[in-house]
Amino acid sequence: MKKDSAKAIWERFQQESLTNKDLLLATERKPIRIIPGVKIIKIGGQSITDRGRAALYPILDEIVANRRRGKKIMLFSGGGTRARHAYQVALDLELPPGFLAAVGGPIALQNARMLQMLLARHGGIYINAEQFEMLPLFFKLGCIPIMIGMPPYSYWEEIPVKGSIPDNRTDSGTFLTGEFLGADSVLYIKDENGLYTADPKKDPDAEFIPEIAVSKLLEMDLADLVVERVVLQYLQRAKIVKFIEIINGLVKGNITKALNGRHVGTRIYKD
Amino acid sequence: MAEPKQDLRRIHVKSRFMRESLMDKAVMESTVKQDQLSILPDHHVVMIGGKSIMDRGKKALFPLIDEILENAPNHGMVLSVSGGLRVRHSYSVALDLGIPPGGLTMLAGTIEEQNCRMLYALLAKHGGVRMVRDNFEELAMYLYSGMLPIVVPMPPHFWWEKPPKYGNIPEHGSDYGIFMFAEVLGAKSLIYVKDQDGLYTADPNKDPQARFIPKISVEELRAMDLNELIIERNVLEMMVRARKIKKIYIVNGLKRGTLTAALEGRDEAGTVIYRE
Repeated sequence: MKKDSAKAIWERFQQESLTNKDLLLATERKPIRIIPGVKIIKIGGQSITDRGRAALYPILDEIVANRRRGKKIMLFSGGGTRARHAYQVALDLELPPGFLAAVGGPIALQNARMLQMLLARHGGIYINAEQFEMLPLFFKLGCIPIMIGMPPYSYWEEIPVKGSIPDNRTDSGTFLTGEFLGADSVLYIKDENGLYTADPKKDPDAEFIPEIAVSKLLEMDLADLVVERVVLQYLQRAKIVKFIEIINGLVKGNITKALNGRHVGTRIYKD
Repeated sequence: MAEPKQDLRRIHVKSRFMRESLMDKAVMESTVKQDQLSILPDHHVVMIGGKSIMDRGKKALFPLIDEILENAPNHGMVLSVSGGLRVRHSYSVALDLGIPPGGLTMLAGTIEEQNCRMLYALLAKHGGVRMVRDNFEELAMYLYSGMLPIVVPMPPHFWWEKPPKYGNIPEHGSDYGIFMFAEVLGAKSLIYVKDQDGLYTADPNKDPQARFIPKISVEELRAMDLNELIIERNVLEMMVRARKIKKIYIVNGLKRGTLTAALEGRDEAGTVIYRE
């Protein structure tokens, strides 16, 4: 593909509409990595945090140990059972999806704050979008930055493909942070070994899928998925992230292995 | 940390989504609602083009402001203005530097802030007021006291801009952001003020064969798959999914009376894109 030089792009920007497909294609380029080597980890809400200390403490121990070994880890919180309750009430009130996103966010915020309180003594630091540009400082100091997984769209959440629950929730915000910062992969800590052909909690015949290309997974058009559907689309279009991995955080040692580049759960690859 | 006792059970809040996967198609289907609450149904949203109006300065903007003020007593409205040429310049520099799409989104918002501040300066004495996104829930106060809130149109995607389908320019720009704003509020109407009479089959400044389209359904327009459009493509995509905004206007802000016609709901104002 022929890429236009910066000067040529600027010439075209003054003349043409930004909806012009040919012009848009000419802007295609691989972006720089903002924080090379950053490790992006999301801790599931319903799958982990809602299980309390029995599930969460060992996970945090492992994360702290890996931080001490020099890994630049950034944590993201999920929503979970309270977010679901809030969605139910908001749905019953017939609120628009943007309002559901706006009431889902605060639950992930609670979970992020709890993570911060648990990790404070190990350098856990809660940051919001305003502090996003201070990340290099926090990493230099050996901190573990913690953010809400929810992207900041709130009232501006896109209209869902189906129904009223926001399509972009905490998996999606986590993924997009990884893609912007320049992570090779994004790690989702859940309570399952990874992706199955159906929900393994309900269907005993569900088959485990250790690795799959994102286009193949989209083709399979599964009735249920272990990550938000939009994440697959973002992965397809990603320029930096090569794969996402879903791992079982209830199995000791999984996080360390995954952070060392070993394949422990399900990897979904960009084609 | 001390070794906890192994009770891995979840502590649930009872709800119909408890233990459910929100990615499950059947669960998603179960959340389809026939009705959706309108949050602010009595007010219009007016989006002023950055490149098309603002960048032209006084000559274009002053008569438009006069028309807005004439209508303000009868038609409450939220105003917005996009970034224009300086956004494009920022994009071309940032692209050259290798900055990812989320970084471009951050830069665009800054330019829109400039334009909103300038619009505020002109409208302050007539009740113009800046509404920053954190004050979203104060909109009702501004509107029901007869003020003219001015909002930045870019959606608050910030660094979390989704990877674009084509190239590295953020897909979710001002036209999209203001559409989502009008949709979530269930606004009375959404009017895009540009420097052309509306939608054409091609850019009328370049192609003498370009045909004007006074009225078209969003499905039809999407099927035409035009190479260039006067508004961002994902506005059309969102319009197909929208539950509240059933039509949008594109009017020529350089022609007196078009905004008034759109505020009054007259289709001859410019181009009407509607949903069947």
